[in-house]
Amino acid sequence: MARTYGRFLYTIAYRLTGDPDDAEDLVQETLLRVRRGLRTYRPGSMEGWLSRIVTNAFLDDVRRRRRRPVESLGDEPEGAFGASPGADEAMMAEALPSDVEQALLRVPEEFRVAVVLCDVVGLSYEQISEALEIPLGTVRSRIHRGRALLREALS
Amino acid sequence: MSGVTPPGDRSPWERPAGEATTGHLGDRLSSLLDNELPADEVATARRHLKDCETCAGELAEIERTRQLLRGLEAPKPPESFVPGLLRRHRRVTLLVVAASVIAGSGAALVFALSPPRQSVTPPVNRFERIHATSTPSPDPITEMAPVGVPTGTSP
Repeated sequence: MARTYGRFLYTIAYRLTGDPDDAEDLVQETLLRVRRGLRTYRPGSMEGWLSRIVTNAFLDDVRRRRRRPVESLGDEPEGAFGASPGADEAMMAEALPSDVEQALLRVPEEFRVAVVLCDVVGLSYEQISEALEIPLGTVRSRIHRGRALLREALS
Repeated sequence: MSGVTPPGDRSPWERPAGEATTGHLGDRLSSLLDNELPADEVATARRHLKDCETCAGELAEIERTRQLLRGLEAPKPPESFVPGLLRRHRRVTLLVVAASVIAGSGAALVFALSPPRQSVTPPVNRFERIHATSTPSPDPITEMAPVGVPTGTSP
């Protein structure tokens, strides 16, 4: 079980951060929050609850870093994905997993989180709405835009 | 930070829901793909797709993007990751397991997480020696349940 949830959290953390060390740190932070917040757990979807905690921890970290502009977010240089792609469809067809992973990291965090919860974790829109504490309409919009932005980053 | 351009009016399919001005499906395309579109909108959306090449093309692109993301393999955590988690957060993982059992997900797996228990062999011979040499209590009740001996049960 711990193995399962450890890997579950690691997968989300890795998709959100794109870095093994950052992913480990995020899982550690998540487990600390789990410990503090266990009383708030209500019987329901454990995956949904853990997803909520890990994404909140991630977004809190993003906001903290934004408030400290001196420290870079460690972004890759512009154009890292190829500045002159061919036709969209050819790019999509040839996209390697690593291309997709890198492109995902170029999607702004708020949209990335929604897409990861939907397409990586497999949560329903309603579960995502609860996890991110945003209205269902915003979930729809963020997932769609997130995918659009991912496609743009791939092309 | 770098990244793709924040969502804007780049193309119809990146625009928010409603799409009242263009008549296109917008983020309803993702909802349709995810089976998250309200039932009463599905038929309308499908009718629109038959007549609108723009939306049909966008639907195909979103689907491809979604497939790329869903096709990613789960990242493999470092070898030491899960054992390290168990060591550092044993209490938390136990609590999470307990909570998940309450939630009805994976009762059997609680045993998989339980720390290995040492087998206990009661020193029967020693007890026999002690009791063989001890002075029998005049009070048979006290002898059966001596004061101060934890019984492990409480009402």
